Amino acid sequence: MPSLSTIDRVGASVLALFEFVGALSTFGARACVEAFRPPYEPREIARHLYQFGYRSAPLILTAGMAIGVVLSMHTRASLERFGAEAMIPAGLAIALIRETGPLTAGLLVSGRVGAGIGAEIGAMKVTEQIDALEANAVDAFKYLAVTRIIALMIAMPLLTVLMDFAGIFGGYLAEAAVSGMSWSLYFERAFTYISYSDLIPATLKTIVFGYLIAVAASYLGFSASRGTEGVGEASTRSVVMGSMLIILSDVVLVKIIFFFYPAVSG
Amino acid sequence: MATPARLVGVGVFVVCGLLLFTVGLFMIGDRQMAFAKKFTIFTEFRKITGLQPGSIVRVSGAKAGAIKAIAPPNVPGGKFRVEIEIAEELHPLVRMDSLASIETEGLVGGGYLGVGSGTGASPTAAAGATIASKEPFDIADLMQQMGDTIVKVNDTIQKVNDTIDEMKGDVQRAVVSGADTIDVAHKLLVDVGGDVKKMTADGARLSADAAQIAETIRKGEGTLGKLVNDDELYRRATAVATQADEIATSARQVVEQARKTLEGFQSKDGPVEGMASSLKQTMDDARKAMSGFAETMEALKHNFLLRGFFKDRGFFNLADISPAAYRQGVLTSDGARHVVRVWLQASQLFEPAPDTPAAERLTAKGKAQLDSSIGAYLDGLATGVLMVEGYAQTGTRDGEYVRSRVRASLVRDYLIGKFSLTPQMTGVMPLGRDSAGSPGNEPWDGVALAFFEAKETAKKK
Repeated sequence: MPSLSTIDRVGASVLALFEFVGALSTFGARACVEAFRPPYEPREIARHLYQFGYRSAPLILTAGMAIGVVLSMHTRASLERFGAEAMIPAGLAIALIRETGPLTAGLLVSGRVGAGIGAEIGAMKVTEQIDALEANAVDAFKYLAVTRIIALMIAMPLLTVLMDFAGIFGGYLAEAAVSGMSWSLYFERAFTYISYSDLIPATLKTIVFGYLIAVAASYLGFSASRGTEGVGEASTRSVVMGSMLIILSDVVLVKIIFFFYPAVSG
Repeated sequence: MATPARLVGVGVFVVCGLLLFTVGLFMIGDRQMAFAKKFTIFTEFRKITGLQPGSIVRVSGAKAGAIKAIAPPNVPGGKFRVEIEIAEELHPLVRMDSLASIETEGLVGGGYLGVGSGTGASPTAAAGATIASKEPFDIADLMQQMGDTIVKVNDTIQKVNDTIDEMKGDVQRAVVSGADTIDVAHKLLVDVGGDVKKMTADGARLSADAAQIAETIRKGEGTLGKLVNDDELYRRATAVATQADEIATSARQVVEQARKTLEGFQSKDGPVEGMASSLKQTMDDARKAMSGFAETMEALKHNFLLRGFFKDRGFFNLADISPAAYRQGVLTSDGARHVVRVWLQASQLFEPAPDTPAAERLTAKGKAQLDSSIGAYLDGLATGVLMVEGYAQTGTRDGEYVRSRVRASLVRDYLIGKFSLTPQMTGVMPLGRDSAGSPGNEPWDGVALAFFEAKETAKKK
């Protein structure tokens, strides 16, 4: 095989990137279209919702509570210098609800669920189970990908809300240990500076996170080849791709939220 | 497969998530009083520092609602119109004279709108009414004011500099005037030179007197001569000689200082300030020297060894003259003085003091009478003595003595203050009820001004 020059290799990589983005976008767009076409496969969606949401809840709650404790300690260390300890609940709640909760939940789900989707569909691909479904007149794309995408789009906001409240509760535990503040006062103060424009857009943007995670993982699963090696690669790449898409899309989504809700930008 | 257990799990997950989300929404709505009955009022600000729709509104510190909307002004310099939603339960506190202000919660807290509770005399703010506001004051305003102040200070400094430039000519003229003043001072110093010379002559004369005294002692004449071998007297005589020597030294220092100052003044290169300083220093030194000179002279007068000497030369101390000696004519016994008395009645001179009726004070009429009485004798007082005799005829003997002394002192103090009489030559003599020589030889109640004039002066008159 003749060796390629650097420019040829860079050009080939760019072309491969564009080809990947194009294929992924087509996959994602097809999922959007297929989501509105019957059959809707509610049982399959429920099964995935159980796997992605219910089974992820312990991880999310634990991580959220830990993040709340850590954030509370850091916030206290900072605000204590200004004699503004009373602002700790509000500061922690703003940080959690606006950004930390959605982003962390997205990354955790990307790691746990994205890898699972990629590995599961990839294994079905390399073992020709998808071909068998197609042979039985089952729309494998709709049955395997769309149901997972919808389930994750439903699970992500719920998991984010769980993470937000778990973080606030963790912050309360840390604050109560230091100052003995009551739960009612802490909870009241936590929502002092929170408005609808803080909670709703930040929570709903995780629907996009769920969509991106599921689309990327499903696409990589459907694209798996070369046996078990391909399955592992699809699993790993699903986590990397999902996390990267979450972070990049978050930049765009925050900007969009600022545009529609100027109050959020302060 | 979605088993029933899994479906339950999914249901729990979804319900819990939605429930928590609802709780969040409820908390936010409760904070913004979204579920309470509200009324709307307006206020206006030129600056809405930190305010935004949704910001908290507090009425007298109590959470009352939120800002619904902020309408920007249509023209520059206009005011932002802030629409406020306040809970109906706090409506009675919001009056038409309530004042809205932008506040900050703590040092790093967010901004909120505070509405003060108005006065009871003002009507309750109706829905849709506009209440007054107090513009926020921030650091930027303070810095702006500081900047304006600095500009004003700079302008003021510039004006002062301009004024100084304009005054340069005046200063030059003032310097010329100063030089003229120095010339006048020089002339004055020349005049002072005469006095200094006179002081020197007095010092020399005193030295001569001291020498004469020493010579008398050496010859063994008089009381001193008889006691010349007494060690104590010898020591005192030595002290007297030392005092006389100090006087002569002081006089020489005065003359020397004056001479140096004159040289300084006469030097063309001498600095003006130096000359003025020298003149001042000289006058101070002269004053000190004369003061020391006077004290030394006074000490010599009281020295029992020289008392007779000074007495023979006409020196005496009025304060030391007792009433008995006075009655015996101590001031006229040497035949050098002639006494004239002016008798003044107490009823014409004194009145009871308002605060202490037992005491007396001079009346205006009495002062006028004193002025007219002393007028004819003022010239003679330059070389003579005025003795104010006090008389009192009521009370006990000691009371009469005290009252007569007080009366005499009142008159003496008044005359010294009014006519600048020499205190050493103006004395008081309490004579009680003994008023010999009074008009008609009647017991006198009042004072008598006794003018002891030199006989030469009396003859000239």
